[in-house]
Amino acid sequence: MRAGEWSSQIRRGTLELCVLALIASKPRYGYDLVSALKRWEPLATTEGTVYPLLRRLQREEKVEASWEESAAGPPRKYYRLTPHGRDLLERMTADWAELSEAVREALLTEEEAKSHG
Amino acid sequence: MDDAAERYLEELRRNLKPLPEEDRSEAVREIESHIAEGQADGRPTSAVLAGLGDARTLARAYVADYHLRVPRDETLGSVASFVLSSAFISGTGLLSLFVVPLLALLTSLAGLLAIAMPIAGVLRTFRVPGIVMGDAGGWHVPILWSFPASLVLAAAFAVLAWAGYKLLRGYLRLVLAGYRKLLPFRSVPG
Repeated sequence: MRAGEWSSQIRRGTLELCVLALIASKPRYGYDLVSALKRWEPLATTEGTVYPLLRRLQREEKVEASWEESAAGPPRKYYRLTPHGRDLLERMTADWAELSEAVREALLTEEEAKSHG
Repeated sequence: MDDAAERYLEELRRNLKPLPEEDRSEAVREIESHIAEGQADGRPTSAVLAGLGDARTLARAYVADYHLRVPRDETLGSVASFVLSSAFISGTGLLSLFVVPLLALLTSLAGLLAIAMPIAGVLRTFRVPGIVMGDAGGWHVPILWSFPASLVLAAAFAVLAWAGYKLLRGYLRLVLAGYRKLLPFRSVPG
């Protein structure tokens, strides 16, 4: 399963971008984040993988976190973007747009070559 | 929290041992919160735990990430840490030059002897000449006891080989852990 490993690597790389983007829209706690990611089938990872990632983002000061009581149930750890995280998200978003456009064109060129010849 | 959840958290906690206590309890607390949210969401505990994946795998992800942490910029900055690093590198370098070949030689030699002993024992049982089992005072192991005696010797050499291997492994681990602390690792994305 070559493609399986390849696509799991792609997903791992893009997960960070998606997590930052989801946190940018509003402060989120882990379970909320996992549920949000589940909306898109290709992004639905093992729920556990999100937590070590969040831990790293926090240590790298891209996000900050605080424990808050919830009305029902246990306290939740809410994550917010730091200014540094916001900068990073902007740059990553631009990089992603560039990259996906380039890949799309490259694939298109290959399609054309095939149909011409 | 039910039994399965408790067991999962305990397993996670145990496998997070390489982390500092603060990081460890923070991680466990967050996963505990996740499980409770899942249960409040109406999912069975087993489904929530399955979604999290194996506790050891999860712990490994935390630990792997910890070793790739971005170091403080002053890792090699201050004079004191520079001198300490230099002393550590040259000290262990010099020590390794003796310790590593010596232990490797001891381990392989003892291992070879552990294999050779029973063979010699069998040969002596069949009175193949040239195999001496005894002491300098002229005492010899009776021919019939050659094989059992050789097994005892082989076991002793096997223990020696095993100890040498453990020591070498422990020593290498220790030195590598020291280097890992010194190296100016940058965080690897993903």
